[in-house]
Amino acid sequence: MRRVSRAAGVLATAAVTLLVGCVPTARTAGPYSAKAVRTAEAVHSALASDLLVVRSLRRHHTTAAYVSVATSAAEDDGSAAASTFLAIQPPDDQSEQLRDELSDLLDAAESALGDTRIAGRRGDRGAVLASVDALTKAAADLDHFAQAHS
Amino acid sequence: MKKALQIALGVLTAIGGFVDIGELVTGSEVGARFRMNLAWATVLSLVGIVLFAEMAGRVAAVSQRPVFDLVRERLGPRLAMVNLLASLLITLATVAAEIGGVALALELATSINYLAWVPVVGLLVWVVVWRVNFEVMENVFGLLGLALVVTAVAVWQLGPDWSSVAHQVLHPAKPANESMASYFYYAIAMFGAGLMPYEVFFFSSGAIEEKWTSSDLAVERGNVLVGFPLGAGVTLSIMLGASLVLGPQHISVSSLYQSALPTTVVLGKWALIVVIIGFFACTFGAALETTLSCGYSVAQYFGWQWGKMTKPKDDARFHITLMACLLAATGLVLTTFDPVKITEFVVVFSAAALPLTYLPVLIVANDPGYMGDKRNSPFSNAVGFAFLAVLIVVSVATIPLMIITKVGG
Repeated sequence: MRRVSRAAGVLATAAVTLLVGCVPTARTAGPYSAKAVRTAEAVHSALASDLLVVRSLRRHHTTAAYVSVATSAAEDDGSAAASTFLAIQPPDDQSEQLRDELSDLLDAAESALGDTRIAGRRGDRGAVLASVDALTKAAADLDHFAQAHS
Repeated sequence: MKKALQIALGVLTAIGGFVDIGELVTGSEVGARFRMNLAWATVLSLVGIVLFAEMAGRVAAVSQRPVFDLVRERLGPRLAMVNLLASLLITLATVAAEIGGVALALELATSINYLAWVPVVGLLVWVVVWRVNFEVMENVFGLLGLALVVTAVAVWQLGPDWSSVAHQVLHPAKPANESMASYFYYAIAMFGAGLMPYEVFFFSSGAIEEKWTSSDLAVERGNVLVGFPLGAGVTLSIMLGASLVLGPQHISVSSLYQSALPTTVVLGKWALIVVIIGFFACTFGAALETTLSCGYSVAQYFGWQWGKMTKPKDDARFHITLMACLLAATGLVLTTFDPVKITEFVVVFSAAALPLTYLPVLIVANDPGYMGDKRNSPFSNAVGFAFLAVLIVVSVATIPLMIITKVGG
């Protein structure tokens, strides 16, 4: 019985260690800022992918199924990068300001990606084409952010 | 005439065999991030696969036994077991990656979530492995895989600055925004993608399935020397397309749909459909080859009856192994673990385990007891051992680079 509880204790410790290991951390401002830049670049990549898809759609170069899958995947990629960054505890006040600044940009990007995905899944060509302005602005803002902080 | 046809079909098969989910995803990712500065890794892997596939095919044709049947006899059961376990684990993960790749291609065609396709693809692979003739299977998917030549047409239409491309290929350099560790990590990923262990298992066992003999060595060399380079050409086209279209937009590739974007942007809807057919054919063909390779390696190690030419009731253990591997791989993809991530891990771990696959091939191909006067020439040996040294360096460097770059960075 004691052996079983000891084994359970070891397993629980290992599980907690693994879970703690999976949580992204940044103990100082430098790595936090670097993670912020990488997040901005990752979300920018998702926006740029959507913009290429929209460009193809405008020229009748793509299919409805492809647009639906591509816009969903771009939103997933953008959301995953954003949520991973926002889960990191900012190490100081300056980092918290950086977080707030990026958080606003990420919200705008996620909103643009989400609107494009909704239109893409509905097969609403006009709405997908109309999303280009929001996507372009969100991508430009993230690009400026990444350049300013790298 | 018959030989010319055999070579033509073999060439098509080799193109399909070289290009699979590893090349589709890693090639696009590397092209977008590093432009053509890592083309050398694909060229190096091409040299390796040509060298060792030729040896494996020659061993099978001359000795009438597949390479890994001889490995156990030559190296002993313990060492051969280490070899079997390492290669089987990687090949099993590759089956999962390929099944995921087929499902993703079907998702691109239908917009139905790829997870819904995974059991269907697993079942289809099993039906083809069970019922379809070996040559028909190879040739149909090899031919359909040729659809990916459309990526080369897209590159031609893009009209790249060829002098700049040639400069990147011939004078490779690390891009300023990338670390040296990331550069070499992705070099290893490209290298591993071109040299996956299953390619040698399948080539060697396929030679037995197709009843090759010493008189077929010209056909075998024709397949290897023309087919694999053409496959590498398709891979380089995918890489170049990504470098021209995705790279300037700072797009990092994380999904299969992005691999189709360069061709779609340039050539339009019909090209997109052709590319998706190519994705489907290459990944489905590779799913068949990897599934069969799992069965081949296990059956050959234990000395069971094996092969698609034999009736299933006569090689039940071989077919049960195939089914078990397919079930395990399908289950892995159904856990919702991203097939693209599986692929990224598979190509890198393949690179780490390469010496275990390729050293025995070199040893057996040198053994006059099995090979007689068809053993390796001094030139083949020199190149083979030099390449083996490269494989060992790659193998040692892989895991540290994986840790340093946090899986690519």
